Amino acid sequence: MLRYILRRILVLIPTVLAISLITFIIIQLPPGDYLTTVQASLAAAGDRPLDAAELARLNERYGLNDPWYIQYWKWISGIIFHGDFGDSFSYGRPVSDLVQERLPLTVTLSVLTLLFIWAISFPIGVYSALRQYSAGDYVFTFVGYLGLAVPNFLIALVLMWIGLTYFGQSVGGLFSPEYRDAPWSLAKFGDALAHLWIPVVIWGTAGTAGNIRILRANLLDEIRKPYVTAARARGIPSRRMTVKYPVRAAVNPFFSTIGWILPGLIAADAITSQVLNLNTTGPLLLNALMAQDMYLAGSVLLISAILVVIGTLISDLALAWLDPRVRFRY
Amino acid sequence: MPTSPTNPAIISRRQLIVGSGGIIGFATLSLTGCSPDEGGETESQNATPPADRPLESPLLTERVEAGELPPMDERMPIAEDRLVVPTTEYGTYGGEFAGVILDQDRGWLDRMIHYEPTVRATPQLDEFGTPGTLKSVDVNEDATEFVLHLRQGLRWSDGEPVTADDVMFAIQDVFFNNTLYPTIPEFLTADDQPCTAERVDDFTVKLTYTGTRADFLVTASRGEQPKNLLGWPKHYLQDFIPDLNPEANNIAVAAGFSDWMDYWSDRKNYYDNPDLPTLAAWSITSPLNEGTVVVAERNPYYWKTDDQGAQLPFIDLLEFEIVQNDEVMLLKAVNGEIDFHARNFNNDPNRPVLADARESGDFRFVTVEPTSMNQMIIALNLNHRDAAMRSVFQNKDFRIGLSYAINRQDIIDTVYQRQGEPWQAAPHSNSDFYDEEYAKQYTEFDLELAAEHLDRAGLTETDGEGFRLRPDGQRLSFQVDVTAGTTQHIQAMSLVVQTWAEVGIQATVNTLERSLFYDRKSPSANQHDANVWGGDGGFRTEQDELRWWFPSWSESNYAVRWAEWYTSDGASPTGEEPPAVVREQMDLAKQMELESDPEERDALFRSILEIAKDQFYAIGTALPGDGYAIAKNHLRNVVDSYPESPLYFSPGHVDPPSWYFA
Repeated sequence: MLRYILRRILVLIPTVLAISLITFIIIQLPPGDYLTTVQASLAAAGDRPLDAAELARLNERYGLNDPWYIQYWKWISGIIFHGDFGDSFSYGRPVSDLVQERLPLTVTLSVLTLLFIWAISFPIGVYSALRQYSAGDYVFTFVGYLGLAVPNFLIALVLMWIGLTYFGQSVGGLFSPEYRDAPWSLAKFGDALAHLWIPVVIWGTAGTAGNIRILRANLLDEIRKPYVTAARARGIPSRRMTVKYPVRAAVNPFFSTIGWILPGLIAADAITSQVLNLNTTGPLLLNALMAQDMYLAGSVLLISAILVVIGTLISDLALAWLDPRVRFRY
Repeated sequence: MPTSPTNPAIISRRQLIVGSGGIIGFATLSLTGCSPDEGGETESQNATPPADRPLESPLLTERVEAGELPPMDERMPIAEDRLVVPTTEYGTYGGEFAGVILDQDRGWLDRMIHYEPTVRATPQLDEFGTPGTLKSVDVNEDATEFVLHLRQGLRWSDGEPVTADDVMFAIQDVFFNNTLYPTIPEFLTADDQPCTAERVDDFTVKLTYTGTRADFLVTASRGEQPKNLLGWPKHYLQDFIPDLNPEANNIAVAAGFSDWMDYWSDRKNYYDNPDLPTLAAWSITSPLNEGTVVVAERNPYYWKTDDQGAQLPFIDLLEFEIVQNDEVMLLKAVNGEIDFHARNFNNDPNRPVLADARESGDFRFVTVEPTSMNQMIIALNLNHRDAAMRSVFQNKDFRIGLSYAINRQDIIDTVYQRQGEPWQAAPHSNSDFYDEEYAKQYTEFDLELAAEHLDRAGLTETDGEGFRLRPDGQRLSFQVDVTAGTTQHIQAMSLVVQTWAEVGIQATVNTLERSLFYDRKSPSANQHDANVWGGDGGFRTEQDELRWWFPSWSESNYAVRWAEWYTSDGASPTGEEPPAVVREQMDLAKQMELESDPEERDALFRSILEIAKDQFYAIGTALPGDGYAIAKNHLRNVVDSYPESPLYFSPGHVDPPSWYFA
């Protein structure tokens, strides 16, 4: 087992380096650079574009005239040797500060969403499998498909519109205006909770629906297996038998998704966050990509790639812990 | 409006600007000039000042009484050096302004807070060079010497006095610092020679140019920083420049920056650095690049008053929530959560939605007169990379034919909500330079005339599908670049190519991401066949924005290589020498820069326009209708209508510090 973990970790290093190179190249692929984007957006807003001298000065300062491999080396060597992810052009601040500023909210939302998904989908999934083709199963299936099919941002827009027209609620954001920049207090916490459920529900719909379907399908497979019949035949009480054997086997997908929490912490659902005006890392990444703010975009992507890789490792380990069949293969 | 007797852009070179004295007379006049606004609130409130109205914010009085601030007379310039802003109503102090900003869009902050140039443009942009942070500017006969008079007792927002040293610092240590500015800002040069600055006394600086600088006052009225000689507080900024502080690099490194240049770039931005002293009415306390809201608090040392001597601004605090998405902004506006806005979502398609919500959201429309003269101008690339295409595009008959083959009224009806009228790339109907013939030439929709002109251009042969062939026998076919996101351009251009097809011209709409659009049209790439853009510079800014009159800079999309030749004085390898008639326009433009007599300048400009009219470089579509801003009904002293210009940071020139909440 230890050797397995070690081998996995060693494989991580070239994987992450390869990812960093590919993301950097992809970010550089679109024509133009940060400054042409600035020029274009100034012009689009009706503002005066920068003049040629100023442009040349900024090009020099940001090193945008260097070939891509030199820019890549500057960036990656800073990360490897100094732990420095570089500065964002558009914010004029270190990338790490920008990410840190948005981390608490992003983490809170991601964890709450995951708990929400589990809390809802687990009982429903089990119910749907055990009462297959009952009225309840049909209702949950219907709602589940709806949750999978409707894009999150659309639900967000609809909820916002309802909140606005019927409740006169302030649009977007996580706090009422009076708490927005207040230091954390009990009252602010309460205010946040009152707003928090909206993004959690929106982010959670697709995940919940997906998990219900997976759990239902897995459990249906399991309860038809001979060992279940055997257990029943021995007179084990139905409830205890279900939880102890088939459910335990069917619950695998829950653990294999633990790994997804980690990248989710960084690359939170960008479009929904943007629509709901949540200050998470999602919109930060989205705007950085659109502005070709390459160190910011590259670093956020790199961090989330590292988290995907680590998360997958953790998932595998958790699965191995849960399921002896996985464990004994190594 | 159309027949303004004097040229708006230029004031007499000998005109001595007198500060408060001259303006007070104007102020009493304007008191009676309060007109109704669209929102229905017609009667003017507070037309006479309430008897017990305090002359400074009660918040400041408290701080003075607590000993935290000097009294008002010590904070403000001496009485005769204060700038008096005429207001329609006498404001009362207090209130928090609720605004929005789209992500890192500092442009809106510039426009709302940061229009404090040395000399100003008037609210209607009909006069330039009126007193700003400077009390007055004396100009000599040849417009080569400028004596800048500072306001005595003027202070930065941290309470430090503003003196001639600050101006000298801006010129000698900032703009003439060849690390910060490898080329000296054009504004401080004449005939490529830098001007010299001389400190006469504590409150006077004299600038001497080697040649005529006729546009000094107009240029200085603009919002951008290189033109602002009083935007650089020496006592604060000098620490960051190695010439003045040997420790500058160490300070920068200690603050986590790689060198002093990086730190300087960070420190000089008012929107990201709350420590930077300013002369604006509100100074930033919560910066743009941190958190989710920008906050700006009242500057207790602000130097403007209304005509009863009440210190501006009236509003205590400005809050701009950073919003990620303009649809969210629109929802907020509909919900009445925004006190004033004129950007992002204030466009034609959203007008009906906002108009409907005016009552429930308790806001009104403020008219924003476009300075643009066209919704969409189609620029065929006269410098096309392919010689055969170039000769077709350069044929004026070809362009006339295309122009006749556009159903402009149809486009106006379907795309622009029936606002505006058919228009070429010609000055706005409100402009002093309006020429009906120029504006209306070739704008009828007439396919027969179109075909006739196209035949005359030598495109007589057609292929099996009915498309016209080039002289070399190939089918004439080209792409028109349109930026993604400008939905109306895409819609309008799609209609244009349909009617073009009816006269045998094959064109396709090529929707591109903005930066790719820009990349393709750069002089070095020159990859575009044709593209479309709005008609900047049609009203109030005709002489400031020359792009559509002749190939004058990189935004002259129809001939970027000729423009490159002009801006680089023929030095750039990607420039191309234009034909004689275009060079004649360029010569006229150079004469215009040197001409100090406004009448002569106008005459030269008219000659440029005459040639532009005859050359017919690009094809216009429709004159834009008025735009609009939204303002909450309880926000008062906002003008009913103002011209929009990025050069003068609209609405900065209508003086937001004089706004108040009723």
